[in-house]
Parts: sequence; structure tokens; C-alpha cells
Amino acid sequence: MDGIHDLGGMQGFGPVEDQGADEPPFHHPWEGRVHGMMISLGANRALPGSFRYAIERMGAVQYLTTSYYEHWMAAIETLLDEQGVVSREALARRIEQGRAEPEQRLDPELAQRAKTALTAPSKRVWRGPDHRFTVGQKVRAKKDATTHSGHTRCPRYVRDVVGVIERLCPLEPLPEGLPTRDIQPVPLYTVCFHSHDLWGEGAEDFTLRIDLVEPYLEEV
Amino acid sequence: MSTTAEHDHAHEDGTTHVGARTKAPAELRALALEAELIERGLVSTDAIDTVVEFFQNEVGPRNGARLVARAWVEPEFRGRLLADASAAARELDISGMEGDHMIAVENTDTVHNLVVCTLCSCYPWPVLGVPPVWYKSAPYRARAVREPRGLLAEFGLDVPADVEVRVWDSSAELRYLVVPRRPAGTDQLSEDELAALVTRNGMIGVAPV
Repeated sequence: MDGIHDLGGMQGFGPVEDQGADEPPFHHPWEGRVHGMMISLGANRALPGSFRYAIERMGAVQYLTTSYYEHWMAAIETLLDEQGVVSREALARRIEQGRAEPEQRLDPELAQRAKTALTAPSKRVWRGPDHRFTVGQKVRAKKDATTHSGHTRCPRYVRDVVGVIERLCPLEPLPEGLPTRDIQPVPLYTVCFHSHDLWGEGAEDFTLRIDLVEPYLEEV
Repeated sequence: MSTTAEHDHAHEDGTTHVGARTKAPAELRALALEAELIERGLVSTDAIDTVVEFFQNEVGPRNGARLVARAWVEPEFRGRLLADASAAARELDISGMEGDHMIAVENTDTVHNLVVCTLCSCYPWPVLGVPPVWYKSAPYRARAVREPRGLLAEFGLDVPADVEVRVWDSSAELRYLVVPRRPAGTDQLSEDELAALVTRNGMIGVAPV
């Protein structure tokens, strides 16, 4: 979907504000709790579907006016509500009734699985079709790479622009299938674009590499 | 029902008093979510604590700095890091979520690399920890792929016109780590001392080192 999350190249957001090298990983304790819930739910396979797509379906105004961990919380709430595990109404009721203080519950085995998920390398390799394009070949990111309102990882700013295949990468599942757990491994490429092709001759001079799956690309 | 509920009351600005403390709506929502998930046995206090502790104390830019310093002092390791950063990281016992397909990109006399994720905020957790707020912010994600030189200048980094600025938008599952150039005059420093010079911003590409 051409959502507000697809920010590449937009203008009018003002300066970037760096808080410095001492910035903590979490700015409020609740942010850490949200990160912990996301990893723990994942370790319990309780967040099926696409976490990113759940964020992308936030309203545009809400997306821009809330923080990163509020995006995560919205995604957790959406996925749990859609599965019928925890309804939005149940959460709202809890807050209204003043029952928002978590009890302590210990599960050392789950804690260990969360830690393993964070630290263990994955050996998963996706098998599927061979790469159709070769290094050095000119390709165009399809203008209609996204005509649907679903999940995609082809940002607006590269569509209908010609670039060059720079690297063949291991296969990845087609992002479009992830929300419905339809896993279709497809070839992935690093594609190199020039700034003048992306933004016109008056743009700054630089090159850009982006990783795009084969269905987003066409021969030139 | 807990007795504190009787003291709770909503305000027009959306905040609610619980006991003596004022809680922002986000904090209240997070508490309610954790309470609900605890009750259903889907998360546990110690699992969440483990994740928080991990990101606060066990993982962060120091990991990436160790890789960079090793690459500066050991040409063979540098070669392995540039060929397969995840495999090279495992040599130093660094691995994990968001780091299974890491790619190290090296700054040189002719190339300066800059990493962004325009669609969300993808970031190589095992080597850099969780991203800073600016990396996740709309202005950074919007501007890095359109006016990177101007952006870098705001960070105090003027990249000469004859140096190629190379932006990496991590839109798939590959994660990027910038290997900064080794500063001049550091020949006498040990690997640990070199690692202490390497910053998070340097490994994203918005600082020289």
C-alpha cells in the first residue's frame, strides 16, 4: 500500500535531531516492556502474520503523531485482536476499570526461549526459483509493483525508475504473502540507482542501493 | 477490583492518575496489555525482563565496534567481514535476531556509505542494539534517500564532491553495517583502544568514525 510509512523522499519533516551517544535504548520503562512483549509473543508463536503490515495499517495521522514503540504496541494490539486472542474492548475495559497493573508471572523456560531468539543464529535457507536477472543488467522497478492495498516492500520512490543489478541475494519470502502466511520464496537483488534518475538532474549527486525482490522488477 | 481504581480519573488531556503517579496513555496501554497477556499465560515477567536487560546491558554499538577494530588490525578478518559479516560476527560470538544476513560496507577514500530503512526502521540489532530515535524518525527516513549530503552536513560531516555518497535502503531482510575509515595517527593503538573510537553514528554512516 502507498501508506504514510513509505517516507523515502518526502519533504517537510524538518531537521533530524540526534540525542547523542548516551541515548538509552528505551526512553521509558514501558517501551522496554513493549519490546519484551513482542519478542516473548514471537517466541510463543502468538504473533502470526505480518507485524510490519499491522503497523502500516495504522491511520496516517496516528502514525505520524505516535512514537516507534507506540507503533509496535498498535501492531501487537491489531494482531491479537484479529486472531481473537485479546480484543481491543478487553484492553479498554481493563484501563477503565483500573486493572492495568500486571501481576508477576514467572516462566523461566519462556525467558530462555526469548533469549535464544535474540542471540542464536538462524540457519534457515529459502529454496525456490533461480535468479532471472544477472549482475550488471539494467532493470526497472515496476510502476505497478503495488496496485493493491496490501503489504509491499517496494517503496514509491524507486518505482518506474531504471537501475542496475548489483548483487544476487539469497531468496526471501514475497512480502505480499506474509500477512496471510502465504510463503513464496523469490529471488532478491541489490539494485543500484543514481540520484539523478530518482530525483532529476537538479538533485544531489549520490548513488542508492536497495534490496528488491524479483517480482518488483522488469527488464529494460 | 483494586482500591487504586477508585482514585483513578481521566483528564481531558488524556492522562489518567493512578494513585499518586500520572501515567501517559501509552504507558497505561502497555501496562494493560502486559496485564492481559500475563493473565492469559502468553508472556511472563521474567521473559520481558530478559529482553529489556539484553538491550540495556548485553548488546549495543560496542559489538559493532569490536568488529570494526578487528577489521582495522587484521586484514584477513577485514576480508571475511566484507565477504560475509554475519559469519565474521559469529567468530566473535555475535549473532541473533535481525543479524542473520548482515552486510558490512566499507568507507574508503572514494566512497562514503550511509544506511537507512525508509519503510520502517530495520537495524542490525546484534551489532548495534536498538536504533536511536533519530534513525527511526520521519525526517531521517525521508531525507536520507533524497538529500544525503545535506543531511550529513547537518551531522557535521561534509563529504567532498569527489567522494561517492552511497546510500543503502535496507528494504528487505539484509542488514547493513558501515565500516568507517581508520583515523590517521592510530598506528600505536591496541585493538581495544581502536574499538573505543568507533561510534554508533559512525557505523550508520552519519559520523566519520
